[in-house]
Amino acid sequence: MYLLVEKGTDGGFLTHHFITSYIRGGYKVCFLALTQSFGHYCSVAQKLGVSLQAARDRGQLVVFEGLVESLRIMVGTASQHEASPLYFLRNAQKGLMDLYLWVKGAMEPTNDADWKGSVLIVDDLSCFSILSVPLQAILHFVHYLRILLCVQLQGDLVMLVATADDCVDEEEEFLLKSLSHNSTVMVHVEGLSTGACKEVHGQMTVASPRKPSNVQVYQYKLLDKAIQLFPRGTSSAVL
Amino acid sequence: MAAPGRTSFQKSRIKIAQIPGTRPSLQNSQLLVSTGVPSLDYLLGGGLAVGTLLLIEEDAFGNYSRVLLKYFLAEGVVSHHGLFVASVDLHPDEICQSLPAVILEEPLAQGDRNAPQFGRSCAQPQVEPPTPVQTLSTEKEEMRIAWRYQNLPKVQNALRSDTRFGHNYDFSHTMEKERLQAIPCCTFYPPDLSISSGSSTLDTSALYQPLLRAIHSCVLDGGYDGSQGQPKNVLRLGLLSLGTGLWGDGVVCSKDPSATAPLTRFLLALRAVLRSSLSVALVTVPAHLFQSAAALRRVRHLSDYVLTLQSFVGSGMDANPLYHDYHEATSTSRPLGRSESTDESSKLGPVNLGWIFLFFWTIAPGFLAM
Repeated sequence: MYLLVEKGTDGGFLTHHFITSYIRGGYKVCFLALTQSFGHYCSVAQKLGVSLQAARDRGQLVVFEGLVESLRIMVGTASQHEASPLYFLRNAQKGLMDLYLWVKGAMEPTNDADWKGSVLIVDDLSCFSILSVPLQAILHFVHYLRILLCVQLQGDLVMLVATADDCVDEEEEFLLKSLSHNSTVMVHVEGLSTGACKEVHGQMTVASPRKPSNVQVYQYKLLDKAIQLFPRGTSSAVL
Repeated sequence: MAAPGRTSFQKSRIKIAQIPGTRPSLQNSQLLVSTGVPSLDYLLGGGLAVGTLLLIEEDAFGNYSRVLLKYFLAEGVVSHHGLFVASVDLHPDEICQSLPAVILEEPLAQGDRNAPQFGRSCAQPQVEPPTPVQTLSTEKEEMRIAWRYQNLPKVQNALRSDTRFGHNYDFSHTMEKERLQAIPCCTFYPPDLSISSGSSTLDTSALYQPLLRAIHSCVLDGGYDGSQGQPKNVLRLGLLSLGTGLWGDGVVCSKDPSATAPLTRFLLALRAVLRSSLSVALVTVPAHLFQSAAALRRVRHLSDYVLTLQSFVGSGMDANPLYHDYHEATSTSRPLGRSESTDESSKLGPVNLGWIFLFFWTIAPGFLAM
């Protein structure tokens, strides 16, 4: 399970990177796009050379468009009693069970060996806490997903979580701590503490909670089609 | 042989929608609209991208956020965009009637076009005193030497106000009524609504859902999502003072950040509307009333641009002679330019641009008289 943490800066480039590399690698990808529209990911992936629309058409990619669904529920075009994966928007007590069942339904029929493996990518798990889903419900949801993907289907789980520079949101901190306890690899992305720079866009720390000694810190720069990683202090602005 | 005045070489250009009042961004192919304040456009990287949400955290008395909203709406009127105004404490019609007048440049005088045009052998007709709208009609002299210029218009159109990006406004006059009436304008004023009980299917506050429905129907009716095949236009949404208790939510009443649920759900659904249509939204929230910083952070997370206003009036900073000429400070605290088709290279790092002083007294003639 990969945990991507963005702190104060925009870690979306990691999501794009993971989606495109898994699609290129021939995995079956289930993608929960909760904060951005599908068109956004499509256009970025097109720049990186992968067509998400084509992947969707041939069944390699299953996308849940959170924005469209939430609009449907909020505006009321969905009827009152229709079950929806985002039912928690109607009734907060319900929790995220419906969403989990949707994911299960999407991921299960992959026992045919067309694809190398399965992976679930969640863009912005902190979206749930922003929408005031209770912390317990989110943790249960993640636990169920982990069992489904990492144990039953032998696949990967990639989640993006956002935190803030100053620790104001206690729930987010608890969420982050519990998630990092269970994750295999944590990629922590933050901006430079000294301010914005043209050559270095931020700092990335790759750590594995199981092996605390193996922590790697890089600084990165986002290019048009790639991410350039270099050890701290060796950016082209300095050298 | 190519027609005079044209070459056969055509540069192939990417089809970018030609909507009045917008222009493509320099960094990527996003469509930008002006906020009405040219210096703010510059800060935002050229303008506000279509499909995004600009959050303004209000100052203590709400004056300047209202001013920014008026600039935004006035720019929409001048660029012939559609407007949607929602407010709960101030009637939207009052806002619309107090929009500032636009300052237009004088169109170019014909005599100024005597640029060196070598080879022109025919005499230009004598220049009359310039009038704003004057088309040269009768002179159809054959050009003997510069015949390639025959079919070009003799006078280039003066910069019409509709096609320029970003205008200057004057608060001492209000916008002409004719301009305002030419624009499709929808309003949402809760005291005018009859709240029908039992219609809300959510366990959230009663007012955000009707607002969302009104926005959604405005987008669909106006064809801003391209569904009806009308010529493309941009819808500007101005939502004043969301998050106060008057909207029926308890954000400002409790320290618990989960009380922001109605507002954040509304913002998420609003984002869905914005991304799926050609619209831009400007939302103001009274951030100084929020009791928990976590709540504010959540609201910020769902916006694309955040602008914090801090007024100097009454804050003791008046006394400092350094700040004497300025009326307020703003700071932006959000990575800019994050929306539809951002590519990896256009993302900036964490941006806290510090304090940027907006020169309200230079860009708003007549503002001090307000």
